[in-house]
Amino acid sequence: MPITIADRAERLAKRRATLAVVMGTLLIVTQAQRMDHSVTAGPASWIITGVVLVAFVLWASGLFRNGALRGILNDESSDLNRRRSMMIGFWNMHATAVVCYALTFLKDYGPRDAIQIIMTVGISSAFISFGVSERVSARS
Amino acid sequence: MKERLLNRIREKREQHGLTQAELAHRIGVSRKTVNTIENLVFSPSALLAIKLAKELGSTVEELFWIDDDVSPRPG
Repeated sequence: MPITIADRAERLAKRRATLAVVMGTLLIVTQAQRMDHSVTAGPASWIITGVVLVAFVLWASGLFRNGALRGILNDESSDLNRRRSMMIGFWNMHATAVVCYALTFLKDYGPRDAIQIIMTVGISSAFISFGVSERVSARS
Repeated sequence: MKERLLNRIREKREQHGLTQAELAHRIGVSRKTVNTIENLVFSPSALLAIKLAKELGSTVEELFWIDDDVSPRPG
């Protein structure tokens, strides 16, 4: 039986959901390791992280796929999940910024650390929530 | 009072002997979208509601209704 575009889209959507959770978790783990200042993270590691994240987002958006497949991959329910996840990431960034501000009264740390924490929480939570909501939506 | 958009997509789909995947394929969305509409997780756009109605041989009003004390259930 030939594989239809719908089958390919469903398989890709599942893979995308799983990878989103994996990417979000990996980002938290790697950034937590970088917070440990005994490990020096140079600009190269930041560039690699950025390139991997951008590559994932482009792949996940179906940019390199044909129009029909991309249409199914990014249909209304996926679009809703994406918007919700971005909103979760946005509010988590705000909440983390408030926590970082409060922490300055207890601990001395630089703006670089604060930016790293805020960005990591925002991006990771958006990725993870997108992956989870896509998987939940696909469940019968 | 919170209003909810209910539907009889599953009932109509089964009457037509279609699976979620088949219906999804016919209207150009993923099976996940049909699944979330049937389970009331997601309310479709007017465009998608019209496509569903057309594919299931009924009207949008027959397929969807608002669940509150005022609106009567059709059919």
